[in-house]
Amino acid sequence: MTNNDITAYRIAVPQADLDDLRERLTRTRWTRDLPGTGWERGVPASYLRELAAYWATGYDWRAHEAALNAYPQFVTTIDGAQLQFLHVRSAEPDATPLLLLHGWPGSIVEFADLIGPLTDPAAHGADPATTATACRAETWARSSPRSWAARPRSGSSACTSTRWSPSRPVTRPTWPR
Amino acid sequence: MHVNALVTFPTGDPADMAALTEADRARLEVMQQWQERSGAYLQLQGTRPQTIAHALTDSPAGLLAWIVEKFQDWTDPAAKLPEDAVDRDRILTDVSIYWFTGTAGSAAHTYYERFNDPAMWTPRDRGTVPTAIAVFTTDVTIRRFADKVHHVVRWSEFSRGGHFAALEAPDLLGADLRAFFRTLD
Repeated sequence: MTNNDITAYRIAVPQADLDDLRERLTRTRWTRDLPGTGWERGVPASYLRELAAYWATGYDWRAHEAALNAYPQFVTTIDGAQLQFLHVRSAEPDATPLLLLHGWPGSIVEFADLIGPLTDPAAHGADPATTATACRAETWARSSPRSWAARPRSGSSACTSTRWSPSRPVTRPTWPR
Repeated sequence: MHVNALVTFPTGDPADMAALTEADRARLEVMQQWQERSGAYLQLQGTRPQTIAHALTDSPAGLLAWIVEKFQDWTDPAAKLPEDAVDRDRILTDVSIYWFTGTAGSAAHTYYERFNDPAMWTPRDRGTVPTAIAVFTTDVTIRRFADKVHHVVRWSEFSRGGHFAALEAPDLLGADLRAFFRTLD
């Protein structure tokens, strides 16, 4: 991928990774809570065990993966670092382009309930006079060799997320607006 | 530009301190206590990110704890547990993304980069971009300090939703975004 390419992308976590996650969760070596302590010292073991059990056996990654894949996604390289982003076009013809950025420990999932109302307000019971959305995900995650775009490098502080943001993706020659 | 969860710092000007409201002082106090009582993740990721990266990349239970602590600490205080503020599946999808991509380490390194980026700590000219600031229940943003560094044209305070406003109060955040950008057309 050369520096100017924007490539369509879909999330497809290998089944082996799902199996590995489940196995690791079920093999966790748990700590114990000190008697009489709670959240003031950090996450209680009792709470975490229950949540981890649900992650392993009740939570359905594939359903959420499919929901994320319902949005058009892309990967590109900016300043030598790969990143993934969503670009959701508005149902309104004169929509304002809008770039959504998240911080740590967030991800694109933070925008799950915002994208619909922003890009298609009429369908969500709002006045379509304003619209928008170009929605970017993660400047600072992504290091998996198996993709979602992944090459972090040193020398890119959080400032970079703003340096990467406003105009650059949209001024790419392949980028309509 | 529209931001939420903005952290503002004292300007060093005694006149600014003297002008703080009672609510401002309370936020400043929260911010100072925060450093002492719950800033562990910040110091660790800012100073030795690679050490914690090994544990976070090897143990999903460890990664879950590392992240869910923030959904406990930073969501609307009215929520007793993280899932009272944010749907449990959303939290787990967020953690799963960090897990499957193996990026808890590189995410931690961004704090180190920030700690060591001279540009982060040098005074700069006041911004010229029209800026809207949304303040949710857990935010410690102080208007007087924000005005010194940003061209603040809109200030909205909300009594519901916390640090993860997009997940906790998408209706409020979405409406504020739309109202703000409408004025810029």
